[in-house]
Amino acid sequence: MPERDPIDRYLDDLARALQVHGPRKRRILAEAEQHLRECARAHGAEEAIERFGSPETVAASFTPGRLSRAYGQRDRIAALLLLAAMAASVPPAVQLHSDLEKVQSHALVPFLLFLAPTAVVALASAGLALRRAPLGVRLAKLLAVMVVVTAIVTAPPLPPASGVFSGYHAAVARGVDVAGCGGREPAVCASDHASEIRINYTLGALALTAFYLWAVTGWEPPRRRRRQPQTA
Amino acid sequence: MRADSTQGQLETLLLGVMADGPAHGYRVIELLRERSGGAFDLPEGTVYPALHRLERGGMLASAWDSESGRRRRVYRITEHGHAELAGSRERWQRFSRAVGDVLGAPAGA
Repeated sequence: MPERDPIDRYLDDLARALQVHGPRKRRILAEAEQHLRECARAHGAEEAIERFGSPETVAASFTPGRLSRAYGQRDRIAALLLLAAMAASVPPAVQLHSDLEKVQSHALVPFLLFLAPTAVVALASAGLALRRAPLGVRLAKLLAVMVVVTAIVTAPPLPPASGVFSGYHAAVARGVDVAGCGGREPAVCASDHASEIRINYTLGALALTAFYLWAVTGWEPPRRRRRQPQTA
Repeated sequence: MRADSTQGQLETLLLGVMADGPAHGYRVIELLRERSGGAFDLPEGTVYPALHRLERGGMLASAWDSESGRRRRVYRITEHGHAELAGSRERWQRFSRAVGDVLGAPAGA
Protein backbone atom coordinates (compact mmCIF):
# COMPACT_ATOMS: atom_id res chain seq x y z
CA MET A 1 0.00 0.00 0.00
CA PRO A 2 1.53 3.41 -0.95
CA GLU A 3 2.39 5.66 2.00
CA ARG A 4 -0.03 8.54 2.49
CA ASP A 5 0.99 12.15 2.01
CA PRO A 6 1.96 13.55 5.46
CA ILE A 7 -0.05 16.71 4.75
CA ASP A 8 -3.17 14.60 4.11
CA ARG A 9 -2.53 12.74 7.37
CA TYR A 10 -2.08 16.01 9.22
CA LEU A 11 -5.32 17.41 7.75
CA ASP A 12 -7.19 14.27 8.83
CA ASP A 13 -5.84 14.73 12.37
CA LEU A 14 -6.78 18.41 12.29
CA ALA A 15 -10.29 17.53 11.05
CA ARG A 16 -10.71 15.18 14.00
CA ALA A 17 -9.36 17.71 16.50
CA LEU A 18 -11.37 20.70 15.23
CA GLN A 19 -14.40 21.47 17.33
CA VAL A 20 -16.22 23.54 14.71
CA HIS A 21 -18.48 22.21 12.01
CA GLY A 22 -20.01 22.89 8.59
CA PRO A 23 -18.73 25.60 6.24
CA ARG A 24 -16.41 27.06 8.89
CA LYS A 25 -14.64 23.76 9.32
CA ARG A 26 -14.35 23.25 5.55
CA ARG A 27 -12.85 26.72 5.19
CA ILE A 28 -10.33 26.13 7.99
CA LEU A 29 -9.24 22.84 6.42
CA ALA A 30 -9.03 24.37 2.94
CA GLU A 31 -6.91 27.27 4.20
CA ALA A 32 -4.72 24.94 6.22
CA GLU A 33 -4.17 22.75 3.17
CA GLN A 34 -3.26 25.74 0.97
CA HIS A 35 -0.87 27.01 3.64
CA LEU A 36 0.81 23.66 4.20
CA ARG A 37 1.27 22.94 0.49
CA GLU A 38 2.63 26.45 -0.10
CA CYS A 39 5.05 26.09 2.81
CA ALA A 40 5.97 22.53 1.76
CA ARG A 41 7.05 23.80 -1.68
CA ALA A 42 9.66 25.99 0.05
CA HIS A 43 10.61 23.92 3.10
CA GLY A 44 9.29 20.37 2.65
CA ALA A 45 6.18 18.76 4.08
CA GLU A 46 7.65 17.80 7.46
CA GLU A 47 8.86 21.31 8.24
CA ALA A 48 5.60 22.83 6.96
CA ILE A 49 3.69 20.63 9.39
CA GLU A 50 6.03 21.41 12.26
CA ARG A 51 5.76 25.15 11.65
CA PHE A 52 1.98 25.00 11.41
CA GLY A 53 1.65 23.61 14.95
CA SER A 54 0.17 20.41 16.32
CA PRO A 55 -3.44 19.63 15.25
CA GLU A 56 -4.53 19.97 18.89
CA THR A 57 -2.90 23.40 19.30
CA VAL A 58 -4.32 24.70 16.04
CA ALA A 59 -7.80 23.26 16.74
CA ALA A 60 -7.86 24.70 20.26
CA SER A 61 -6.99 28.15 18.92
CA PHE A 62 -10.21 28.12 16.87
CA THR A 63 -12.53 27.29 19.77
CA PRO A 64 -13.61 29.15 22.91
CA GLY A 65 -12.30 27.55 26.11
CA ARG A 66 -15.38 26.07 27.79
CA LEU A 67 -16.85 24.59 24.62
CA SER A 68 -13.41 23.28 23.74
CA ARG A 69 -13.04 21.53 27.07
CA ALA A 70 -16.53 19.99 26.89
CA TYR A 71 -15.92 18.79 23.32
CA GLY A 72 -12.53 17.44 24.31
CA GLN A 73 -14.21 15.36 27.02
CA ARG A 74 -17.02 14.08 24.80
CA ASP A 75 -15.74 10.49 24.90
CA ARG A 76 -15.81 10.46 28.69
CA ILE A 77 -19.21 12.17 28.80
CA ALA A 78 -20.57 9.52 26.40
CA ALA A 79 -19.03 6.73 28.50
CA LEU A 80 -20.66 8.11 31.64
CA LEU A 81 -24.01 8.39 29.80
CA LEU A 82 -23.72 4.78 28.69
CA LEU A 83 -22.99 3.63 32.25
CA ALA A 84 -25.88 5.77 33.57
CA ALA A 85 -28.28 4.29 31.00
CA MET A 86 -27.22 0.77 31.97
CA ALA A 87 -27.71 1.56 35.66
CA ALA A 88 -31.12 3.10 34.91
CA SER A 89 -32.23 -0.09 33.14
CA VAL A 90 -31.67 -2.23 36.26
CA PRO A 91 -34.83 -1.18 38.25
CA PRO A 92 -37.21 -1.85 35.27
CA ALA A 93 -35.51 -5.23 34.78
CA VAL A 94 -35.99 -6.08 38.46
CA GLN A 95 -39.66 -5.00 38.22
CA LEU A 96 -40.11 -7.13 35.09
CA HIS A 97 -38.49 -10.09 36.82
CA SER A 98 -40.90 -9.65 39.74
CA ASP A 99 -43.93 -9.46 37.38
CA LEU A 100 -42.88 -12.56 35.44
CA GLU A 101 -42.31 -14.55 38.62
CA LYS A 102 -45.93 -13.94 39.55
CA VAL A 103 -47.01 -15.90 36.46
CA GLN A 104 -44.23 -18.52 36.85
CA SER A 105 -42.49 -17.30 33.69
CA HIS A 106 -38.72 -17.78 33.54
CA ALA A 107 -38.36 -16.18 30.11
CA LEU A 108 -36.24 -13.33 31.46
CA VAL A 109 -33.30 -15.64 32.25
CA PRO A 110 -32.48 -16.64 28.64
CA PHE A 111 -33.02 -13.05 27.52
CA LEU A 112 -30.63 -11.76 30.18
CA LEU A 113 -28.09 -14.42 29.19
CA PHE A 114 -28.50 -13.21 25.60
CA LEU A 115 -27.91 -9.60 26.74
CA ALA A 116 -25.05 -10.41 29.12
CA PRO A 117 -22.19 -10.34 26.54
CA THR A 118 -23.43 -6.97 25.24
CA ALA A 119 -23.58 -5.62 28.79
CA VAL A 120 -20.07 -6.89 29.55
CA VAL A 121 -18.67 -5.34 26.36
CA ALA A 122 -20.49 -2.06 27.12
CA LEU A 123 -19.11 -1.96 30.67
CA ALA A 124 -15.59 -2.78 29.53
CA SER A 125 -15.70 -0.29 26.66
CA ALA A 126 -17.07 2.53 28.84
CA GLY A 127 -14.54 1.83 31.59
CA LEU A 128 -11.67 1.82 29.11
CA ALA A 129 -13.03 4.91 27.33
CA LEU A 130 -12.99 6.76 30.66
CA ARG A 131 -9.27 5.92 30.86
CA ARG A 132 -8.88 6.67 27.14
CA ALA A 133 -7.43 3.23 26.49
CA PRO A 134 -7.44 2.38 22.73
CA LEU A 135 -9.13 -0.96 23.47
CA GLY A 136 -12.22 1.02 24.57
CA VAL A 137 -12.63 2.30 21.01
CA ARG A 138 -12.28 -1.20 19.50
CA LEU A 139 -14.83 -2.54 21.97
CA ALA A 140 -17.18 0.36 21.11
CA LYS A 141 -17.25 -0.88 17.49
CA LEU A 142 -18.00 -4.41 18.68
CA LEU A 143 -20.67 -3.00 21.01
CA ALA A 144 -22.35 -1.21 18.09
CA VAL A 145 -22.64 -4.51 16.20
CA MET A 146 -24.01 -6.29 19.29
CA VAL A 147 -26.58 -3.56 19.95
CA VAL A 148 -27.79 -3.74 16.35
CA VAL A 149 -28.16 -7.53 16.68
CA THR A 150 -30.06 -7.02 19.96
CA ALA A 151 -32.32 -4.48 18.25
CA ILE A 152 -33.02 -6.96 15.44
CA VAL A 153 -34.01 -9.57 18.05
CA THR A 154 -36.01 -7.22 20.26
CA ALA A 155 -37.96 -5.13 17.74
CA PRO A 156 -40.03 -7.86 15.95
CA PRO A 157 -39.62 -9.58 18.68
CA LEU A 158 -37.67 -12.82 18.10
CA PRO A 159 -36.62 -15.42 20.71
CA PRO A 160 -35.44 -15.01 23.41
CA ALA A 161 -37.02 -11.51 23.59
CA SER A 162 -40.39 -12.87 22.41
CA GLY A 163 -40.61 -15.13 25.51
CA VAL A 164 -40.26 -12.10 27.77
CA PHE A 165 -43.07 -10.29 25.99
CA SER A 166 -45.30 -13.36 26.12
CA GLY A 167 -44.68 -13.60 29.86
CA TYR A 168 -45.41 -9.91 30.24
CA HIS A 169 -48.71 -10.30 28.34
CA ALA A 170 -49.65 -13.16 30.67
CA ALA A 171 -48.76 -11.11 33.75
CA VAL A 172 -50.84 -8.12 32.67
CA ALA A 173 -53.74 -10.42 31.72
CA ARG A 174 -53.69 -11.69 35.30
CA GLY A 175 -53.82 -8.17 36.69
CA VAL A 176 -50.08 -7.76 37.45
CA ASP A 177 -48.60 -4.30 36.75
CA VAL A 178 -51.81 -2.74 35.39
CA ALA A 179 -51.24 0.67 37.03
CA GLY A 180 -50.95 2.54 33.72
CA CYS A 181 -53.73 0.69 31.88
CA GLY A 182 -56.63 3.04 32.76
CA GLY A 183 -59.83 1.53 31.37
CA ARG A 184 -58.14 -0.54 28.67
CA GLU A 185 -58.52 -4.30 28.39
CA PRO A 186 -55.48 -6.05 29.94
CA ALA A 187 -54.55 -7.69 26.61
CA VAL A 188 -54.69 -4.35 24.76
CA CYS A 189 -52.81 -2.64 27.59
CA ALA A 190 -50.12 -5.34 27.55
CA SER A 191 -49.69 -4.96 23.77
CA ASP A 192 -49.42 -1.18 24.10
CA HIS A 193 -46.82 -1.46 26.88
CA ALA A 194 -44.86 -4.09 25.01
CA SER A 195 -44.81 -1.93 21.85
CA GLU A 196 -43.65 1.09 23.80
CA ILE A 197 -40.90 -0.94 25.46
CA ARG A 198 -39.77 -2.48 22.18
CA ILE A 199 -39.75 0.78 20.24
CA ASN A 200 -38.51 3.15 22.95
CA TYR A 201 -35.83 0.88 24.33
CA THR A 202 -34.64 -0.22 20.90
CA LEU A 203 -34.46 3.30 19.47
CA GLY A 204 -32.94 4.64 22.69
CA ALA A 205 -30.27 1.95 22.72
CA LEU A 206 -29.45 2.53 19.04
CA ALA A 207 -29.29 6.31 19.46
CA LEU A 208 -27.14 6.09 22.59
CA THR A 209 -24.79 3.60 20.96
CA ALA A 210 -24.45 5.75 17.83
CA PHE A 211 -23.61 8.77 20.02
CA TYR A 212 -21.16 6.72 22.07
CA LEU A 213 -19.46 5.32 18.97
CA TRP A 214 -19.13 8.80 17.46
CA ALA A 215 -17.78 10.27 20.70
CA VAL A 216 -15.15 7.63 21.46
CA THR A 217 -13.91 7.09 17.91
CA GLY A 218 -13.80 10.80 17.07
CA TRP A 219 -15.37 9.89 13.73
CA GLU A 220 -15.62 12.68 11.19
CA PRO A 221 -17.30 12.64 7.77
CA PRO A 222 -14.72 12.06 5.02
CA ARG A 223 -13.05 15.23 3.87
CA ARG A 224 -13.84 16.21 0.32
CA ARG A 225 -10.62 16.28 -1.64
CA ARG A 226 -10.04 19.16 -3.98
CA ARG A 227 -7.60 18.81 -6.83
CA GLN A 228 -4.63 21.13 -6.60
CA PRO A 229 -4.61 23.53 -9.54
CA GLN A 230 -1.36 23.19 -11.47
CA THR A 231 1.04 26.08 -11.26
CA ALA A 232 1.19 27.97 -14.48
CA MET B 1 9.59 34.80 21.20
CA ARG B 2 6.91 32.77 22.93
CA ALA B 3 3.45 32.69 21.36
CA ASP B 4 1.87 34.12 24.50
CA SER B 5 4.10 37.23 24.20
CA THR B 6 1.80 38.37 21.43
CA GLN B 7 -1.40 37.77 23.45
CA GLY B 8 -3.75 40.68 22.80
CA GLN B 9 -1.39 42.18 20.24
CA LEU B 10 -1.54 39.61 17.46
CA GLU B 11 -4.56 41.14 15.80
CA THR B 12 -2.99 44.60 15.81
CA LEU B 13 0.23 43.13 14.38
CA LEU B 14 -1.74 41.42 11.63
CA LEU B 15 -3.53 44.66 10.78
CA GLY B 16 -0.12 46.33 10.63
CA VAL B 17 1.09 43.74 8.13
CA MET B 18 -2.11 43.89 6.11
CA ALA B 19 -1.90 47.70 5.83
CA ASP B 20 0.72 47.23 3.09
CA GLY B 21 -1.72 45.44 0.79
CA PRO B 22 -3.73 42.24 0.24
CA ALA B 23 -2.02 38.97 1.07
CA HIS B 24 -2.87 35.31 1.60
CA GLY B 25 -2.43 33.68 5.00
CA TYR B 26 0.97 32.16 4.32
CA ARG B 27 2.35 35.48 3.07
CA VAL B 28 0.87 37.36 6.05
CA ILE B 29 2.73 35.04 8.42
CA GLU B 30 5.96 35.36 6.42
CA LEU B 31 5.69 39.16 6.56
CA LEU B 32 5.01 39.05 10.30
CA ARG B 33 8.12 36.96 10.83
CA GLU B 34 10.29 39.08 8.48
CA ARG B 35 9.18 42.42 9.87
CA SER B 36 9.70 41.32 13.47
CA GLY B 37 13.19 40.05 12.67
CA GLY B 38 12.01 36.53 13.46
CA ALA B 39 10.77 37.55 16.94
CA PHE B 40 7.16 36.61 16.22
CA ASP B 41 7.71 33.00 15.25
CA LEU B 42 4.30 31.58 16.17
CA PRO B 43 2.82 28.17 15.31
CA GLU B 44 1.58 29.27 11.91
CA GLY B 45 -1.78 27.56 12.22
CA THR B 46 -2.70 29.67 15.23
CA VAL B 47 -2.57 32.87 13.17
CA TYR B 48 -5.65 31.89 11.13
CA PRO B 49 -8.11 32.20 14.03
CA ALA B 50 -6.91 35.80 14.49
CA LEU B 51 -7.41 36.48 10.77
CA HIS B 52 -10.92 35.00 11.02
CA ARG B 53 -11.71 37.13 14.10
CA LEU B 54 -10.54 40.27 12.30
CA GLU B 55 -12.75 39.34 9.36
CA ARG B 56 -15.76 38.75 11.63
CA GLY B 57 -15.07 42.15 13.21
CA GLY B 58 -15.18 43.80 9.77
CA MET B 59 -11.50 44.80 9.90
CA LEU B 60 -10.45 42.41 7.15
CA ALA B 61 -12.26 41.05 4.11
CA SER B 62 -11.27 37.89 2.28
CA ALA B 63 -12.04 35.95 -0.88
CA TRP B 64 -10.70 32.88 -2.70
CA ASP B 65 -8.32 33.77 -5.49
CA SER B 66 -6.91 31.52 -8.23
CA GLU B 67 -5.12 34.11 -10.34
CA SER B 68 -1.63 32.84 -9.57
CA GLY B 69 -2.65 29.32 -10.59
CA ARG B 70 -3.06 28.29 -6.94
CA ARG B 71 -6.27 28.65 -5.03
CA ARG B 72 -5.67 30.89 -2.03
CA ARG B 73 -7.74 32.86 0.44
CA VAL B 74 -6.60 36.46 0.06
CA TYR B 75 -7.17 38.95 2.89
CA ARG B 76 -7.32 42.73 2.59
CA ILE B 77 -7.74 45.40 5.21
CA THR B 78 -11.02 47.37 5.22
CA GLU B 79 -11.65 51.03 6.04
CA HIS B 80 -12.72 49.95 9.50
CA GLY B 81 -9.47 47.97 9.82
CA HIS B 82 -7.41 51.04 8.87
CA ALA B 83 -9.23 53.12 11.50
CA GLU B 84 -8.66 50.44 14.16
CA LEU B 85 -5.00 50.21 13.23
CA ALA B 86 -4.56 53.98 13.53
CA GLY B 87 -6.15 53.91 17.01
CA SER B 88 -4.03 50.94 18.09
CA ARG B 89 -0.85 52.59 16.84
CA GLU B 90 -1.58 55.72 18.82
CA ARG B 91 -2.37 53.75 21.98
CA TRP B 92 0.77 51.64 21.59
CA GLN B 93 3.02 54.69 21.07
CA ARG B 94 1.55 56.35 24.17
CA PHE B 95 2.01 53.14 26.22
CA SER B 96 5.51 52.58 24.87
CA ARG B 97 6.54 56.17 25.73
CA ALA B 98 5.11 55.81 29.23
CA VAL B 99 6.95 52.52 29.84
CA GLY B 100 10.16 54.10 28.51
CA ASP B 101 9.74 57.08 30.83
CA VAL B 102 9.35 54.79 33.86
CA LEU B 103 12.08 52.31 33.04
CA GLY B 104 14.48 54.87 31.64
CA ALA B 105 17.33 54.24 29.25
CA PRO B 106 19.23 50.94 29.54
CA ALA B 107 22.25 51.06 31.86
CA GLY B 108 25.41 52.23 30.03
CA ALA B 109 23.43 53.85 27.22
